[in-house]
Amino acid sequence: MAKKTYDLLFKLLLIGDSGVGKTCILFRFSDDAFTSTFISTIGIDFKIKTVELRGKKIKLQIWDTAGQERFHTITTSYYRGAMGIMLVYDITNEKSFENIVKWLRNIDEHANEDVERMILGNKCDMTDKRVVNKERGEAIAREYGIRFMETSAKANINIEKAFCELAEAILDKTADNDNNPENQSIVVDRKAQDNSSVYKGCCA
Amino acid sequence: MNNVTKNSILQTVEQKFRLGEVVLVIFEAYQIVGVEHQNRLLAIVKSGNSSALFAFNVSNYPPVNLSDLHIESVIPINETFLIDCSSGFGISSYQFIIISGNEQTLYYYYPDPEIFRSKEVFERTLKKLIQEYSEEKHGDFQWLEAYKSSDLTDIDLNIALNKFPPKNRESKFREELERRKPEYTIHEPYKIYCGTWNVNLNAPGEDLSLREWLATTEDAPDIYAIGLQEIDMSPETILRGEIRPDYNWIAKIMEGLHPADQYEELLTVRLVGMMLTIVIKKSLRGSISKCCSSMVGTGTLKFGNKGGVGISFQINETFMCFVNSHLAAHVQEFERRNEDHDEILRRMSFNDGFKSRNILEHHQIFWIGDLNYRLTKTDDEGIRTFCDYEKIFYLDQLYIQRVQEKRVFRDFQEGKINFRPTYKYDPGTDDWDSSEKNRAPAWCDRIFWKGARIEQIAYESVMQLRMSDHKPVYGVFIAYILTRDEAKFKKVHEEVLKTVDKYENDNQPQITVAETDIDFGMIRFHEHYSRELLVANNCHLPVDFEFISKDDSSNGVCEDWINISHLKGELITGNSLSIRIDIFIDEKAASKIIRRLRDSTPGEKVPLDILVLHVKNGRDVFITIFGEYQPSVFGLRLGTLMKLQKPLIEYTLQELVSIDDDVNNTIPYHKDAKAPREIWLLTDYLYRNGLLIPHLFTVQRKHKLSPRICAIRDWLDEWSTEPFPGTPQTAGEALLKILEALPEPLVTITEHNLSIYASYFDKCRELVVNKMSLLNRKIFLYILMFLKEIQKNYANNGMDDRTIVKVFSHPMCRHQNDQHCQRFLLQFLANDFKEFAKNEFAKQ
Repeated sequence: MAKKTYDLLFKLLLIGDSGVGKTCILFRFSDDAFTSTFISTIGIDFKIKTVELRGKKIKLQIWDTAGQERFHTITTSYYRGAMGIMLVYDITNEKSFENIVKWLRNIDEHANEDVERMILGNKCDMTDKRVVNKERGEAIAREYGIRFMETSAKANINIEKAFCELAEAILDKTADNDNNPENQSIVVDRKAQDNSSVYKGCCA
Repeated sequence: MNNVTKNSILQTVEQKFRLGEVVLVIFEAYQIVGVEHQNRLLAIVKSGNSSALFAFNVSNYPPVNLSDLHIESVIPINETFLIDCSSGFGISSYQFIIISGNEQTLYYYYPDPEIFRSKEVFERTLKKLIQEYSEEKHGDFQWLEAYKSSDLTDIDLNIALNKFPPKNRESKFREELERRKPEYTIHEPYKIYCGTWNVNLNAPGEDLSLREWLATTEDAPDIYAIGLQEIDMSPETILRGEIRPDYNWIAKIMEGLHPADQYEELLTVRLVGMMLTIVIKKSLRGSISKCCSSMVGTGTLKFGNKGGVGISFQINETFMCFVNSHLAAHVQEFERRNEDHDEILRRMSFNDGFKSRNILEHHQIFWIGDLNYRLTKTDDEGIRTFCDYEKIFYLDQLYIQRVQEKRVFRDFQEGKINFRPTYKYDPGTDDWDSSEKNRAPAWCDRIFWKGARIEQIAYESVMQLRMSDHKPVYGVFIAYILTRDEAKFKKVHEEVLKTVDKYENDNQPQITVAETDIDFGMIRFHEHYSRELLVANNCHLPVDFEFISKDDSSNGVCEDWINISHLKGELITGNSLSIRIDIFIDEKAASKIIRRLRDSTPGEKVPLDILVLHVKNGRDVFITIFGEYQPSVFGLRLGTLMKLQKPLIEYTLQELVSIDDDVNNTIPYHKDAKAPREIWLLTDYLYRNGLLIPHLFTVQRKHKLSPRICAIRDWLDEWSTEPFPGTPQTAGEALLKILEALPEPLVTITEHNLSIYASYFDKCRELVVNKMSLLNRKIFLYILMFLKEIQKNYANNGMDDRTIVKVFSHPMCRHQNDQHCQRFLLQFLANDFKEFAKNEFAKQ
């Protein structure tokens, strides 16, 4: 009797301009490692990682997409079926931040309507090269009503937290869909979470 | 294996191991995988105080190189290790079973009954090691890690060669948890009480108390297994094959248990006279699972007057089995008793709803009952008066059959008997049978066990219970049961999840692509271009690849002018494949590639297409095809051709697109020309050189792929002053290709209109005027006038009307149903339209 090694399976997607660090973020999360050599992702990779949230084992299947411009139309066809999308920009690259709006539009056009989104300002360890301040990231996140976090795959800042928070948001949504009165408390919880950027998750 | 081969194989096997790891025995066996028999080489290896059984898959027999041997299983010889070599059972008499842990049961077969001797050595060695382990109760298996973790990183040949699928996540998870069991399990002692009594058809009387039998130990036992025989042997009971438990006896048993603890009945199984009840401490309820029973009737008609009943369950991590049996009676019938024993062993099967296991597939087995074996020297009155049991014990048939003959209860153990024979007494007394039959005393009632970590602390009979002609017997054991430490388990579980995640990430099949950018350089119309895309499988799993569509809307994996030699395929580890990618811009593709590249900047490397190379269960690789296109007259609009002011070669693609897009005609035509320069040149050449040539045009289009087309292309595109480089046939083909390459068909009349009016010449003329632009109309009539000339020369060139229209109808109209278009063209060939054409040509 094959017992499943997880309770839920969430498909997540990483998108953003080329070179913002999508692959590094994924590598940090899945293997807890960092490599500074830049190898452009030419295609679609995925990795899995199981996390435990609220007593549930959640298997995250995270898809890493090629960021290069010429692949944009192709990568959008992978949006469908994603339950959560991380939009990544590089705080040292103005253009990558400006393009967030374009990526958001892409999501609107191609992803599931109820997809959970989150903006990540990556490379936040590189303070001396910063060109996009945190307030601008927060402002755009507020404008679109989505989550935001600054991360560093290199310094391992907020990586695990970001994934767990995104997963938790999806979990809330999954719970909302059940008409189980027990889940009502979780709904409240989610609203509380939306209002503050304080992390309440529990990634072990 | 003869000795020479065996020694050389041994040497090869030894190379697999490190210093200090000693290969004790190698043994050749096989496994049945599907319908295939596969060689397995088993090796028993010892290192320090621990040992393990290695099963090798042999890819080349006899193995000479290290690479011929692949470790398939590594089974530590510890408390979970069981080998069942009882030939005569199972589906094949050559089968033997290795059980490791709870889940892993490996079935092996001896290749040949002739190898009895080496089989003996193999089994003996294993048993010795099992014994050693159970005595030491400790072994350091750390050295096995080097071999076990290998499947995470090393190439498993069977998987790589696509013989077996890789383990799935779930089985890997189970395997890892199993492997790390020693980290989260401890052995906890449990007190097991086994009792057996042949009650000689007596119902339990009111005043009967079983305390003297069941509550004799100082501490309360954790588990009771009480087996009764002959609770009822009436003909009705036998015929009915009674299986309903006897609640009077169960109640009596429950009353008689040790008073120091709370008990509950776990399960009772009954068959006619035999009943087995398992009672457990209430506190143990949560530790027990997969509880199930089984019964086997033997003897005449298998009614169940003799046979066995059994109960199997899992307690914590240990599988336990209790069997109560009543074997054939009478002194001389020991062979029938042996057969009953065999039959119970063979037929008793426990099914917990998911898995069946037989008696031997348990870690700890207790077999009790009235086994009915007697003492052979029945006439010796001395037996009745002896007091030194050891002296007469060798007369016991069961001792002879089990210890001397090794016929029954092999691998089972029995404690030393220090009690009087339990049969046969005058009921109500402690006196030997005084009836006419004058039965000789015998140790009919016995208790055996099998399994590691079991210690017997008592083996007694109870003289005070005198109701039956048998005395009850009991055995008390300390059994060490593998138990999970929940805190440690949680930690290991988390780590195993991580390992499994890593395993899954590492076990993604991956294809290695030499280049993801393929540059075709400059591409020209009607020329073949080829590039090789080298893909390889450098991972340890088979790769199943396929080029897939970029999006859900279009079905093609690439532009239709690109051809991929292998759209899908399989690569086993270490293999590579050269996939050929061909580009050929034909008449259909010519306008498409111009559209495709319209937004590119001149001189820039442009992606012509992106291929998605998908690996099943793995990642997708994008392969970008770069190239530039040299536009040609083929693929441009008629309007564009009419507006060219200089050789086409001098225009950039972007300039041509902007002329093509000039729908408002801001750029002037060559007003006086009836047709574009290129069409005029080709028809003019044909008019002068081709009219008399037989089969100038053929329906089969024999010159479709002629290389001269390229020469004609250059001649046209360059406005060359050289002589025409083609032949009349290829000039004809080039003309057809220009028509076919037009972004829109020359004849813009719908199929529907032609289907209605194609039989009326007047209507056809009207359609030409109303449905076709002036430019198209002029060119159409110009070409038709040329076709008329061909028609005129039928006597020389053999081109009849039918052939002419068949060749030209599709290039001109491109309708699905060509018939109407052919009729339409026939109207013009059959009628005189010189005046009509003249009028149209005059229009501006």
